[in-house]
Amino acid sequence: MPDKSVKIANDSPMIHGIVIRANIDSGTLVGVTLPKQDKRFFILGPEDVAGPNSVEVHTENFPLFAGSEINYKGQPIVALFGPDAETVEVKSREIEIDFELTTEVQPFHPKHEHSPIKYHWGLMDQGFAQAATVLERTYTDRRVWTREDTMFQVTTWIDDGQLKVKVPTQWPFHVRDTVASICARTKKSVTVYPMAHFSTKDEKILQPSILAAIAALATVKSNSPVMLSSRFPTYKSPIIIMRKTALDAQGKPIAEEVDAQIDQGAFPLFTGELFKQVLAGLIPLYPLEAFSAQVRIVESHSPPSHFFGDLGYSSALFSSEAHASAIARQLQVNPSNWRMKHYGETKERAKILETPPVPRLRDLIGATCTVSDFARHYAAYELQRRGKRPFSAFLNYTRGIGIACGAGISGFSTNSPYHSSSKISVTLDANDQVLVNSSFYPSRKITTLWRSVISKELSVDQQSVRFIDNDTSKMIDTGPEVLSLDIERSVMMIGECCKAIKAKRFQEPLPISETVSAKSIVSKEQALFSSKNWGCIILELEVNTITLVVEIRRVWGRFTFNNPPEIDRLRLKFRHIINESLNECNIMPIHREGAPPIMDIEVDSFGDEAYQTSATSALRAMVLAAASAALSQALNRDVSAMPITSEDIISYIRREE
Amino acid sequence: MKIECTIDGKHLLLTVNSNKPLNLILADELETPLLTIRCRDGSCGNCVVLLNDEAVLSCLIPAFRLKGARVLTFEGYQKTRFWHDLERAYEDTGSHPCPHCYASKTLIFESLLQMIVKSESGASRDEEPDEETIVREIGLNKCPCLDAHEMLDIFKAAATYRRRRRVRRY
Amino acid sequence: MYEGIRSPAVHMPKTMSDLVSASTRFPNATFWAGGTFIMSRHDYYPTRDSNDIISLNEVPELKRINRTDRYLEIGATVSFEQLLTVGKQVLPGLLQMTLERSATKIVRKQITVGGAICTPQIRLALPGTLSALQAEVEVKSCMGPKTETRWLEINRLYDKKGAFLLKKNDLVTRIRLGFEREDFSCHIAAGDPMTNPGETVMLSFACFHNQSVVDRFRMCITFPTSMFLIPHEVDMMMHGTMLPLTTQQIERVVRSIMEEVLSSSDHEIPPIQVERSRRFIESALHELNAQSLSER
Repeated sequence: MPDKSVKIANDSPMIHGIVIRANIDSGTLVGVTLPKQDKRFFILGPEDVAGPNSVEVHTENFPLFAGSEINYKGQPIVALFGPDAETVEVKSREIEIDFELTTEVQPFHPKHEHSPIKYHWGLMDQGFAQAATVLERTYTDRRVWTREDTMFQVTTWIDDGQLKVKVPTQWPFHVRDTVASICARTKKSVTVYPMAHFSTKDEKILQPSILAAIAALATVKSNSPVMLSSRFPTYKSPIIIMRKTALDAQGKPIAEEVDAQIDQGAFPLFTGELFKQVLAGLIPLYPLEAFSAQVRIVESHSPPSHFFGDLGYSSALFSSEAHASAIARQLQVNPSNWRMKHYGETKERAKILETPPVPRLRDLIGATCTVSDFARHYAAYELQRRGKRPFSAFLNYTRGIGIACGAGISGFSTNSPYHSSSKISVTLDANDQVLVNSSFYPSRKITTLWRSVISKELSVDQQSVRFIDNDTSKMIDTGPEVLSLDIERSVMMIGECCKAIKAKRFQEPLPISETVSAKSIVSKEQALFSSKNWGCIILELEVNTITLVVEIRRVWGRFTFNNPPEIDRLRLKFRHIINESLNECNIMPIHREGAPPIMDIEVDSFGDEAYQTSATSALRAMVLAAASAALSQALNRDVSAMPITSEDIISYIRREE
Repeated sequence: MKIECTIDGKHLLLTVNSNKPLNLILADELETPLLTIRCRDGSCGNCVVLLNDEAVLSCLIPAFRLKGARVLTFEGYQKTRFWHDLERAYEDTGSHPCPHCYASKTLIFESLLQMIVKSESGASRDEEPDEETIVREIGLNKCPCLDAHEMLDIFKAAATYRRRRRVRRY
Repeated sequence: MYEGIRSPAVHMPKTMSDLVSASTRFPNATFWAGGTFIMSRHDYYPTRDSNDIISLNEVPELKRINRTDRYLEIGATVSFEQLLTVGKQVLPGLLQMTLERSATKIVRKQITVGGAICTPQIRLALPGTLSALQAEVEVKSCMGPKTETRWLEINRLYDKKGAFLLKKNDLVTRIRLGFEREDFSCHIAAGDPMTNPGETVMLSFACFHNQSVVDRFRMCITFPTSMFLIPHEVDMMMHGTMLPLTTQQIERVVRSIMEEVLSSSDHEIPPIQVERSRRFIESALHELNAQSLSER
């Protein structure tokens, strides 16, 4: 189980290390000049790697240490180890690294473009030929994160021939496999003790593996326990999406062409899955006679962009929803009414993303608009927008309101290689005690939900549920636990087990044991993603015309979920995600008369099947899209690049004035 | 530099550099697990400890200021009876800080609760914190996992428990 | 203790004369008040060569707040929080507002007035406010056995770009504020000077008027890394003007100050700072008008 206190059984003194990284985007490594010889220190580089100098991620890989070529700023070059963290840090400043810059390279300049991946239906030319209006907008999700404040700490040591690793991770299997491969050892000779990890956007999937591998190499070399600390940057690149929509005379969309460009950085990872997630978000909720999407993945000299909240679903959904609002704005109609009128089912979308019925979404939009008095606010701010001097410092604010909706997805697509043969078995014994044995990694978050579902389904006390403490060698690699993938699958599997036990209870003697595999719960419809929820949020914000800061006034959110295990927790989680997303959008909460902004969030439950799907990435997209719509109204310009910056606000204001 | 101080109730004689920040002392010398996240400039607010019963950012306290000081980290605080007020408040409201900032936010809450105690007992000229002050103080920790309403609910619930404790004591 | 990393010697003088002698004996030592600024620098620790430290916290004179008939005298190591406890009756509203908005209570307990004035690279909000309130500072120059003490207007500690003008062995010991209360004051700030200095603008404004006629008009605009501007010409221009100001007068004042803002920097000022300054000034003048109208 995680968070267990692990004793380091090695009497040698602890060695501390630091990773030295490239400070240029691209070039050739000419040489590394080490500090004066000092026996207390040693350096590790690519030549010290016992196995291949490569970290494998499914079918893709990237080098552990840079070889002769530097691919991105921040790429590990060498690691320095010494007696304590501080002297190592000071000593590391004496290391001189010489590079040769071949050409001046911009980090975002594409160095290699993969052939685009396309998806389409209908006849585009015909659609655009019928158009009364064509609306073209480019949406940019500029959420670029380079979180360097987070300190990673990995400890490795050898105990009785076994290489042991203590690391905060959400993918212990990858740590084990990487350490084994880099150190040229068998997987069985590596034991991983996963510690609690704090990565709200699953952004640290691979870093623990990299650090653990470097620390393990040092342990093998020195035969001493090693502690390696690093401020490891995590990165997500911007996504640019161009949407061109043909509308008929009544404002109904006929055809749409979408082009998404994704900079995956120096080493593209999870590309197959990324395409599917982006596609799921790109297909709009309004029916179209013709649709064409093209996703272009570009390699550049920016750091490898990988998982950060999702693999592009939220960026794509943001563009779809912001575009719906832009169409409504172009037609000068209320965006909620436009959505109610035009959103509908399509079989083409259902092949990619299976959702609950659209009328349920319409009800949700209606309910959210009623509670927020959207129509009145929208009309009032439209009047203000058309005012003579809306950005005067005399009236010190300008306001806007925006709406967005969508369906949440979780985990990877149904045909992803990470849908493994994981199993869960639940046993109910004669004393109403429940024993769960699973091949999932039982994090606290997961087991809390499992307890809750079992307690509800089998009417037993939560404390009577116990979990078998498997070591990782007995577990199956279920892939990285991202987008609540394991929660989603395992809760469904637990639910299935409970249902089967319920059917046999009081008919067969106890104990009753049931086993369910992950394969058996995969959607029968064969859509790439299956969603069991809808969400709609409305944001009201204002731009302070004195400080030029965007401030949130009120948020309303309505969600409908298929029988979520814990509705109150879900509501709280949504509030947190909304707060976090607003923060990412540079939108600040303001206090009115001493009170914080109102956040009215409700979650409804429908159906009786005991499973839920995550709405996290969809919610992030909704916040982004609603904020962009509200800002477009407040600033009287199409705000299509989010998060908004102060430069944007100034340029919009100056153009207006 | 040799420094005598009390950390989590233990009297210690530390040999550290005089300018070493307290958060590094706690992390390196004492292996305090809360400090795995460090911004180095006081901007993340994730290293709060109680220094002589007052909340401080430990990254802004140099070693030489620890002479004779009492430091209480979250681990030490959990062993005090005051911790239960906040623990119960988290349970009652269903809201709690995320694991990332749990220790720091809890200690900031504690410092606000102490303001109530001091202002009511007349031991300090501090006024009882108003809603804006509470939100602002908790906002010292930049993690956005709790919204303002949750902070206020937690504080109100914890304050109720703390007042009851005082009533019983006197 | 770590080999290769020097542990700086810490001197803790208990009296002013000890302090003077310590600063003479250790001319390269760093004066340490609250330490919040020094410790928030990214390269603060670990470093191979750290200067010795002279801690100012043990000198009682520097920790005192004195009230005389004419002045409020504040010791340099008085913390923001300690100063706030003096109360609304004694502390000018503008100063109180600035102190409260500068940081949270937890950090305010550690930031000292002297430290906030003497930050080497970054100008914080306090100097601007003290300048608008026409505060004076006591500066002790420790030059060997000779010590020179002088009172300076606080704005003389900085040039127009906000660079700190005191020498290494000069020490700010006290800050002196008159009891004359401003009739109108406001402090507007956006951004965080420590984490985002390129976008931060701070404006402190105090206006003294007599029966709707402007007597003194003191404004200070601070950009943390590039500007500390007191538009003296506008002070003269506004002297004797009737309140409320007309739209044309507001425009003239804004234009005049903005011209000075734009001409006082060698580098291009980020547009956000320019725009914010313009709006802050305009808003402050509208507020002044609103107050003068409500007083009628």
